[in-house]
Amino acid sequence: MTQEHLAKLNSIDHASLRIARKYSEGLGDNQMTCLVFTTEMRTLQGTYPLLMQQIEGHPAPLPLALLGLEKSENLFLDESDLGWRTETIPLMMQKGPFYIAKEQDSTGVTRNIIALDERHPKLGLESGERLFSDAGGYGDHLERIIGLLETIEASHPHTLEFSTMLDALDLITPLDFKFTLNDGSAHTLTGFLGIDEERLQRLSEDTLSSLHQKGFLLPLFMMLASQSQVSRLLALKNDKV
Amino acid sequence: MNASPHHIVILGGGTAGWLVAGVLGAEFDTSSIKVTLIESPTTPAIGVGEGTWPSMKSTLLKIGLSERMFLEECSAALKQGTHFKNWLHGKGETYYHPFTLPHGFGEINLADHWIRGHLGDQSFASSVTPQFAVCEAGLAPKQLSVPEYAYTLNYGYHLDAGKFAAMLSAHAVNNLGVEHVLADVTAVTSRENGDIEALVTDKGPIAGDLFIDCSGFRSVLLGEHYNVPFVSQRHVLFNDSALAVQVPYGSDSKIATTTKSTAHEAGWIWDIGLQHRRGVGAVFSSAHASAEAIEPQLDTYLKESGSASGLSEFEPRLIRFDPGYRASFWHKNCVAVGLSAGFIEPLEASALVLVELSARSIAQQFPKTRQQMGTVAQRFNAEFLQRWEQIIEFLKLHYVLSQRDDSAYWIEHRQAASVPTALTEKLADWCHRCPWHLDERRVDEMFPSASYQYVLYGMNFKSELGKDSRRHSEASLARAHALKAEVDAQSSRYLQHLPCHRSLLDKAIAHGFAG
Repeated sequence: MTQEHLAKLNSIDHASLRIARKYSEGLGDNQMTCLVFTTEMRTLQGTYPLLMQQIEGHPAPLPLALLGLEKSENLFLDESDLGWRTETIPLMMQKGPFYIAKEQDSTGVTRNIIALDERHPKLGLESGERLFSDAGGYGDHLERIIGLLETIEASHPHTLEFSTMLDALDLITPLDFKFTLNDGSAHTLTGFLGIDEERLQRLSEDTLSSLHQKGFLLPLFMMLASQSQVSRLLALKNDKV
Repeated sequence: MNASPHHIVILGGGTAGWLVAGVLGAEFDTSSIKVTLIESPTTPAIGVGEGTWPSMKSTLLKIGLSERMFLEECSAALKQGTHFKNWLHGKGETYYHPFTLPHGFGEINLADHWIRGHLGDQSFASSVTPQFAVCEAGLAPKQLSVPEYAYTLNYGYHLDAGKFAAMLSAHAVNNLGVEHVLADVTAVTSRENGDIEALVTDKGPIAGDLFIDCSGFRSVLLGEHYNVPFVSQRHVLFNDSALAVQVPYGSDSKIATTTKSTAHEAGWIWDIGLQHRRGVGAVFSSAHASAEAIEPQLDTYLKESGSASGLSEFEPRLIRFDPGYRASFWHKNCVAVGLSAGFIEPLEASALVLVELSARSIAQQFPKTRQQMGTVAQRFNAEFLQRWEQIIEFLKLHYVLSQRDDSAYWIEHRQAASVPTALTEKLADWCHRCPWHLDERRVDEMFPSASYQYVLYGMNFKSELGKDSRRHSEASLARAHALKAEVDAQSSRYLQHLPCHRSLLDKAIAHGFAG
């Protein structure tokens, strides 16, 4: 996503803009991963493997949900009306083409504004739900998206601190493996990181207590528990072949 | 009669019989192809082959068994290859034949560069795969977060054969619709064309369209009934006996993650670590040594490997076998799988993999008509004859490369008359060229050229390659260096992050993989 396609959301330019509520490959949802936040890990862990990945420009690896087992594959997309096979969907997928951006007003104060990617395939004039009401107010969907963006904005710093802490405590372990599908084809998953259970068990009481105070202990165990969902992805992929 | 075959009768309730029943039961819908297994209540199973190849992962997956349940019920452990000791000189030297291919094997032949000294002066296996370091450290080939049957480093299993047969039996009968008949076969009735019509048992006759002989060394159908000749391989691979013991773990309960194969002056000793015990056995040639002469070898090995009072603690079991295989495996409407088809010393754990391959081959080309069966049989026979030849050549390679001269046994193993011509020719070729993909003439080659590399260069075989005269030699060298750097980086990363073998097994059984 380059910044130049981002425009400040406003009820004049975007008065008749509509958004597709559905998920599909054609609408750009064929992502293998999406970033996740500490606040949503509890709800996501029963559905997605929550792993980490070193992402360029970030000092510590960032937590993400694994959606597919190869590039541009999202195994949670399906043929249902919604296009997504589970009830729980990560915030970053739900928010679609909307972002929170910073704007300096005339007095020099920086404040958050909502921006959108005007070229995103989910946006158009023909079909979908209107962003704004006839009166120029936020539509229901947009109202909800703004709520999501605020949650994301609030969780972001906590998530960064969380991953920095995990990295510092050396609780992150590479997770590389090869697997064979029912059709006999062999595949490799590489470049992802998981929670090192053995090291987690060796943490001192003091460290555990400080993790708890910072609100990191719960997401940490949620990530650990979520690792069993890798098997679900494998099963989903096997269903496809 | 040209009716579609619809009843498969398996004779024998050992590992081979139940593995075949599992594969066929999982493949076919019971309403069109029914599988019956006849097990003698009086014949005990031999239970050979406690080591498997990595292929067992996909076989178990196909049969529909969870890896967690398999590990638990069969007291199984993960095998990452074979660790050879004393095969070259008998002076404590070692090398590995790991299951993971050399890094970048599909793209570049690292052996070429290793021989030229481009990768440093470490052993071949340690230069081309991180599995060397992981085996040396006794770590597991994966983490708990890696799903069932998926792997970070490739692995097969060590398993308790008796428990394995019991687990397969329960699954085949309860979930796959295989019918289990406990009965002794007293006679065989034939059709006019020489086909087997039925097996007469003390519970009545059991008719079938295809009979699979898994009756063990006796080879009741292929051998006793059809008299298909036995092709002895004793002149190539002399070993025909084994002295086996089961050793409980001492205070050090670490489970080895490779099969240990330690040569002695008249053969070699296997050491296979399960969860609850080790299986240890001395393989030898009765023409070169008596069982009494072998006992001290086994005694010394047991004492050196942590069993303080040595052999005196145990009642060793003596197993005799005829090394070789049947001239054909599929005759009329009968196909032999397992010991009834042949047996050779378990140096590369080839027994169970042959059962898996036979079962898969039968499942994949199951003849729809009796007429078609002739063609299928011909193809099956050609395939498995070649597989046996490939196994024998590869096993013989271990002896031909040895420089031991401490007994007639080792010296005779290198006499030209005992070496298959095809192997002699390959060795002459490899004096000037490293084996690679060209050496895999067929897709169903038993041992990939990587296996040949690990054994050849683990045993100091010298390939004289001369100058690299390829136009792109510099690019190739740069790529080799990059791959070697990756092997080193992976080695240190895996050493840091892979769990110890026993701890992984305990947790996988308690919580399941990816849990």
